Amino acid sequence: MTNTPTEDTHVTDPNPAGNPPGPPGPLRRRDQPPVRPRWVNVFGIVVIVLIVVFLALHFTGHVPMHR
Amino acid sequence: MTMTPGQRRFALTAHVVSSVGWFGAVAVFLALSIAGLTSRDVQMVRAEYLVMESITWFVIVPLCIASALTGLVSSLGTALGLFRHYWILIKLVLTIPSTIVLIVHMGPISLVSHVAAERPLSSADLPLQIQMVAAAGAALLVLLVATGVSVYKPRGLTRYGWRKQQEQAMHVIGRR
Repeated sequence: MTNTPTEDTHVTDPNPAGNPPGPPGPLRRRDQPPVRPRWVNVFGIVVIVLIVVFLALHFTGHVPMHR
Repeated sequence: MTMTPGQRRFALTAHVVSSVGWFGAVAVFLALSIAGLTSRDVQMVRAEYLVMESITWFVIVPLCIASALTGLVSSLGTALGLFRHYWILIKLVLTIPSTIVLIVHMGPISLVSHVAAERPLSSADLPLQIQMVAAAGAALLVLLVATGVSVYKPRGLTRYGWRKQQEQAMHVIGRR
């Protein structure tokens, strides 16, 4: 096994125009701002749901608090 | 400010080490809190809660702060930036509140540790013991998500990142 002398700068966005992955369709122009990826929307919804559940449990007294 | 390749690797190594250490220390905390909740050995339970406070103060909190700081340095010191890619932004969104919650959570951890130092825990302390397990489990889940995001680096440029990229492209074209 050989080590390649490449510089790892993490993976940058291979799709800067923000085109959705999958079958080819109408491509987004590079001079248009990218659309927000679906996984970010899903993540946001999950976080909001968790915050709401935590607050609901907190205000209904189901979260044990220290005295 | 852009770091040299050597500085970048050093910052990344420090970030990986502190993040993995943070994850491992929280896993140990979870194991101790579960053992403290389920064990019938009174002395063992007291010892576990005493150790949990030490682990939190001397391992988890320093590693948590180190992870956040090295993450900031790694992103701000490279072309990746802090607000250009969604995966970095989400790691920030996960790490900073987790650090704040951890600091806030030091109260209950110290409380249960002091109780364990003074007397055997009773059924009245059960909510506090459950809170330890729940908090450690939630923290581990958050760190697992952050680790997954770091490894997979899901694609997606923010509007700010896209604007910066356009500016850099224009700059390169202008220099030709």
